[in-house]
Amino acid sequence: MSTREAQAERPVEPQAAPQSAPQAAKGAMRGDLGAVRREMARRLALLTPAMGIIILVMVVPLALMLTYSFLTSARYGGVIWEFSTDAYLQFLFVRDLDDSLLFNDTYLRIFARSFGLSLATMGVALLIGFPAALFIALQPPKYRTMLIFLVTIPFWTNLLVRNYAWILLLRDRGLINNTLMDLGVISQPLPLIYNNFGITLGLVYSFIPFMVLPIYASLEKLDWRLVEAAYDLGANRWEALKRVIIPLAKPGIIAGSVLVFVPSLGAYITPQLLGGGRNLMIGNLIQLQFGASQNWPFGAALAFILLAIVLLALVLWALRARRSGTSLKEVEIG
Amino acid sequence: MAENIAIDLRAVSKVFGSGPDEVRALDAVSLQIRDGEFFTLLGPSGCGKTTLLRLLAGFEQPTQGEIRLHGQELSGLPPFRRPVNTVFQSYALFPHMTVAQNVSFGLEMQGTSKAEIGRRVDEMLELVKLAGYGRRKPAQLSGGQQQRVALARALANRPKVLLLDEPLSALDLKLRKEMQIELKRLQNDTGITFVFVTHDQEEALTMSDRLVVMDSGKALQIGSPREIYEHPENRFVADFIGETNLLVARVDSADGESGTFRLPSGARVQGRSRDGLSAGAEVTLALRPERAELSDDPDAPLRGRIENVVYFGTDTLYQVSVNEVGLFRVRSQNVNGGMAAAGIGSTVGISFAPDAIQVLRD
Amino acid sequence: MANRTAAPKPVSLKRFPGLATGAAFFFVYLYLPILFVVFLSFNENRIATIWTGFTFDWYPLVLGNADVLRAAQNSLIVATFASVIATMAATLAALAMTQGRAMRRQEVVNGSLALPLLIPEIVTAVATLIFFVAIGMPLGLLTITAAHTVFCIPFAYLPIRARLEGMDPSLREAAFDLYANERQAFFRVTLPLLWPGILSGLLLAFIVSLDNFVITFFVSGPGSTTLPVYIYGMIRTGVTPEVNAVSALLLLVSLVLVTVALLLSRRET
Repeated sequence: MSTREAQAERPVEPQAAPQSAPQAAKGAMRGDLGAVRREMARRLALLTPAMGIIILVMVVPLALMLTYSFLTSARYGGVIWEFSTDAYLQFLFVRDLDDSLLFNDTYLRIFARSFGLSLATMGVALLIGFPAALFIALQPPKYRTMLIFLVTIPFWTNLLVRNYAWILLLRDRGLINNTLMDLGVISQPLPLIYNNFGITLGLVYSFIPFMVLPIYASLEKLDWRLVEAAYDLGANRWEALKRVIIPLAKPGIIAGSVLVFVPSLGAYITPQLLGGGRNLMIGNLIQLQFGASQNWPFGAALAFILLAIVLLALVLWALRARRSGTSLKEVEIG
Repeated sequence: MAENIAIDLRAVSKVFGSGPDEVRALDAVSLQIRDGEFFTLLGPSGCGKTTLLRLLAGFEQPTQGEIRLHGQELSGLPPFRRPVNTVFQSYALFPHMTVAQNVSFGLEMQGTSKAEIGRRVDEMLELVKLAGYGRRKPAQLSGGQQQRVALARALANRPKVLLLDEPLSALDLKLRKEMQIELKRLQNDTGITFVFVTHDQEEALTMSDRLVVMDSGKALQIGSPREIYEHPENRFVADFIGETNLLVARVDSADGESGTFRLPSGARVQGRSRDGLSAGAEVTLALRPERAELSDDPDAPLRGRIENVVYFGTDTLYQVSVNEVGLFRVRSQNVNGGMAAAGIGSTVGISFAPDAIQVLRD
Repeated sequence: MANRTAAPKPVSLKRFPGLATGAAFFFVYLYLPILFVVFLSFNENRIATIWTGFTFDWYPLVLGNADVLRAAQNSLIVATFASVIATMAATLAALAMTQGRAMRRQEVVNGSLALPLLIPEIVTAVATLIFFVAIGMPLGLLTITAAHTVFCIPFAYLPIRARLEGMDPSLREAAFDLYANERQAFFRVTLPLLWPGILSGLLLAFIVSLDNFVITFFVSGPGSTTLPVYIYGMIRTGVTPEVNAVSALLLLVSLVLVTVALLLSRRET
């Protein structure tokens, strides 16, 4: 290809070629529409693989899941293609012998428990995560990077293994009970596992990096002179924390809370391993419909309800973030 | 005078870091700031003026030395136990609070009653001409208005000393001039001691009752603007404040404070020094361009060739190259339309009155 | 030093009482469980969590187990294909999103690319299972790889986009100015500078694929068990030193890969 041709092929973007001679500028004026169209075509081509995969293997399946939730359950898994709202009715009612609907709160209570556990997880994660984030933000920059790296590492290790580790620590003959009994503090093992305590501990452990990182991101940006100004005006450390540091870290605190709450609500591994199968959360209930219960429409309906709740939480957060002028990008993890 | 001293610094040093990274930001600075005066810390960036201000505010602790406020030792006291307040260079207004909440913050911290706080906030906003702006957020204000809020927030606490860290540096020239006058007015009205940090020599000269010129962590000279400008004690001060011609000379004869100096050209000039002079010693003489005159006198102490003429409106600057001295600057007032006689290339004499010559210490 | 006054205890305004203790507690909480698993993988005692002596025996035992090896092989196949495909797609998408002028609906595209991160894993798992069953695709390595590719995309996308955004756009313009066409500019200028970001994204995608359990659990069929699914089966039958040893190995792999990935992503442009 000759240089002439290469030059002709140059995309004529007004802002992309400011230094290249007058003909580019003229081209930008004359062929602006053509250039924009070419640019869009190029964009579309580049986006096709990623968007294609996500649409085909994620968006279409989600639509299919919604469809399944309105179909009739086949006896041994799968569906019969017949419209039915049974799956949603089953969420709140049982059919009596005479086919009348009786209110049944079994599933609602599992949702409520999941909410409760997720809120508790969020609160504990905030309580443990905020001081850690503040501590890291106050270190000299060279240590900060290393400490943040230490916070990130567990996120990248196997979630299953991390939850399994707590079995070793929490069970009746685990590290904690053994140590306490050896020290003579207790004579009977404490019930640390296969209950809400164990689940909350495991959930906090699973998702706490999501709390620390966004809070750290807001604290790191915090102009320390504002804290100095608070001191200068007579605020002691506690007042400065309460009146200046925490309010200014609020976007990070909210982001962290959402990022911990959302995966907690849909958790599967933690309640499975540390809840001992008796303490169901939404995730386990959904899985059951595709396992032992073989009620796919109900499973799909439950998954859809969970998705709706999560998306609602995310949308509310996004609206709030937009109003307060913080962009979601600022709290992205990576 | 001792009873009128607001701030008394005794051999205060501040060292940051240690080992090879050690930086001596302040080096045995001793100075006294009088009660009720407008005192300026002037120097180039990195001279230690901001460090000194942060020591007074309590954000840093001195490595050595004592700081007293009305006789009370301040070292060890955190900023929230010091009766001083700061106007920050960046204003440091709390972005999540309204103007009124910002101004009331310090009063709330001191446990002032609600009614009193409300009264004082109104009074302060009135004082800085921002009445009615109480419910706005800082981000909704212009730079100049934010500046006023920062002032109101600090003054609301009726501090014994108000510290101002280059508060005007973020404002454009016109606004800066307005705020200079405004600050002077506030200081007069409140009678509070102002300690003002700036690197702008003109600002320092016009606003201060007294000032200190600092460089490399040292206090080089303390005095009124007039003393500092007319009697600079050393090369740095002479050069940093205004324009100066420096001449190396030898002491010809000395008689107490006055003496005769021999310039490299061989000419002899009269001058004054506060230090003792010893005959034969080499000294540096400082001469302000506006105190020198172009003259036709063949016996003028300096002669040279005009290299450049720059018209400034109120005055004209002549750059004259003088043998063995270099470029010498002379400014002359443009009275009656100015003097057009001396053009580039012409040879002229330069003369000056004996009291125009300052002998520098180094 | 004679005039040094009795220095008062320096008050650092950046210290808060109890904060260091809180942070120390946090890091112990974060690392104690992981380290304990590794520690127990060297425990000679078969049954209890009681330390009876050091042994290295469990590692050869695990690595000699044909089932473990097959599961590990499946995991590697899936992770390799999923991460490579996802990284290529993510690189192209990142190029589309960062070069040229700002685009309308940019937020929508960015949001869609992050979709796999926002949707609860269990929901994705259910939807994907239903999808494969509905189109009659037998569950196996292919379905697992397809499902993994989806959630690998955002993990690969974020570091690559970050790197592209940190790149001076005038470099590409300079290439055009010096007569490079679109292709030449990409291969001679953009790609060499983008490499660390791409590698970093690839490694992160590889790790999340290797470690994934929930989605894999739903869309795997007989014979396509991956390592996490196999470990899950082992845990359900009981706590054994073999589980500890496999877990420790998996932790080690993740640790090495994430360290390399994060070091790469920190490299100066």
